[in-house]
Amino acid sequence: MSVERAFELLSAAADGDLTSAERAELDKLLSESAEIRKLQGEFNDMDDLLNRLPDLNPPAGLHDQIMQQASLPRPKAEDAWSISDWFHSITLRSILGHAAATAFGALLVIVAYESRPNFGPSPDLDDLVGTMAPSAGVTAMLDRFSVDETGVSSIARLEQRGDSVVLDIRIDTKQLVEVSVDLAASGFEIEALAQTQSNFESIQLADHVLKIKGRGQRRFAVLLRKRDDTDFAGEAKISLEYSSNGILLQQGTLRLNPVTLSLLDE
Amino acid sequence: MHRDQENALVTECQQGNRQALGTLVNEYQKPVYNAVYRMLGNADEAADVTQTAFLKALENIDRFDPKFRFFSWIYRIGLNEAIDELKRRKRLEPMTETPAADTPRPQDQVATSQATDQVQAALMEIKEDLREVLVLRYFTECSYHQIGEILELPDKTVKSRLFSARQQLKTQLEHHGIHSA
Repeated sequence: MSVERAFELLSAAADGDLTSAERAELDKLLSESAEIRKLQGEFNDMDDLLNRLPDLNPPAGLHDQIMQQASLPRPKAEDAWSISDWFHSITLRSILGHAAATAFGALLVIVAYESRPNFGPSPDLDDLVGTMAPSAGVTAMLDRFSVDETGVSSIARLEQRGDSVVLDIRIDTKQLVEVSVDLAASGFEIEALAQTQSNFESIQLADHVLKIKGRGQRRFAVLLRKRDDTDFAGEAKISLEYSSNGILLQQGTLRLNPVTLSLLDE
Repeated sequence: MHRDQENALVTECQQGNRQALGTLVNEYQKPVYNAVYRMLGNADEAADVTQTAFLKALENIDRFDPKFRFFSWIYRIGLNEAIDELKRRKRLEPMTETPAADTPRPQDQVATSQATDQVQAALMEIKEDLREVLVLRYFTECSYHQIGEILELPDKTVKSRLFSARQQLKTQLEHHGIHSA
C-alpha cells in the first residue's frame, strides 16, 4: 500500500503537483523505507529516460506536402490563388476530352504475384511495385483515403515514387467487396497492376474504371501514367467506391493538386 | 506561440491566407509529428498521420472555435488519427506491413540507439489512453490543464492517468531489460 501511495506521490511530484501535506507525506515515506527510496531512484531514472528521448525532425517535405494539399476558404482578395480555383479550372471541355480518351481503353499489364504459402514468407508488394516503378521508395504520400466500416477496413494511398504515381490499396473484408477505381477525371491511365495476398475473384477494366472484387485480406497497387490527351490544367481526382452485393458502402476521392502534377509532368 | 498570435493566424487562414497557414504548419508540424510518432512508433506512418491531421483541421477551419487553442485542436486531431491508425493496423496486421523504407532519414538515424528503441517499444505496449497522456506530458510539455483540454478530461483524471501510465511503463521497461537504479 505504501509503495503504491509513494508511486502516486512521486508521479505528482514529477509534474509539480504536490500539496505541502503530500510533500510531507512523501518525505516521511522516504525517510522510513529503503524500499521507497529505491522506488524513487527507479522512478527518477524512468523520468530521465523519457525526458532524454530525442526530439525528432519531421521529413523534409512534410511542410510542402501539407501546403500543397491544403484547401482553405476562397480568399476575399482578388489576386489570391487558392485550391478552390482548381475546381473551377476543370472545364466541361476537359471532362469531355477525358471521356473521349477512355473509349480507346488502356493497356493493362497484370503482374499477378501468387502467394506461395509453401515457399516461404509472403512476397513484399513494395518489391513487386519496384519492378514496375523504378526508384520505388515512397518519396511522398500525395493523398490518402480510409474505410473503417463494420466488416470492411481499407487504406488507399496515392504515392509518388520517383517519377511515377502509384495507388496502393490494402483491404480486409469479411464479405465479398468490390473496389472501383475511377480514373476518368484524373488524366491518368493504368500502366500496370500488381497484387499479392492471393488473387482477386475478378478484375475488370473499362473506360478507365478498374473494378476489383475480393474477400479477406487483399492488397494491390496500380502504377499510373499520364494519358496522352492530358494537360493537367486543374486538380486530378481519382474516385473510389467500395460496394458489396450492389450496395455502396463508402466512396471517396483521392486528389493530386496542380503543383504536384506540374512536377510530374516535367 | 502566444494565443493572440495563434488566433490571428487562424483568422487569416479562415479568410484564405496561405501565408498564415504556412506559419501555423511551420510552428506545429514538428510537435504534432513527434506526438504522433511516439503513439505509432513508425516514422512513415507518423508523417502520413501528421499530414492527415493538418488537412482535416484545415478542412474544418471555418468551424474552429476560438475559445480553444489551435494547438489543442491540432494535437487532438493528430492523436485521434494516430489511434485510428493503430486500430487499422491491428485489423491489417497479418498482411505485409512494410511502410516503404526509402533512404534513411535523419530522424531514423537518431532513433537507432538501443535504449531509445527499448523505451519506444515499452511505450508501444502500454494502453493507448495512457500512452497519449504520457506523450502529451513528455513530448509536448503540456500542463495537466492543457492535456485535459486536448483530451477533454478533467485535471484529476489526467493526474490519475499519468500515475497509471507511469506504473505500466515502469513494468514494461523492466520487461525490456531496462533496469533502474
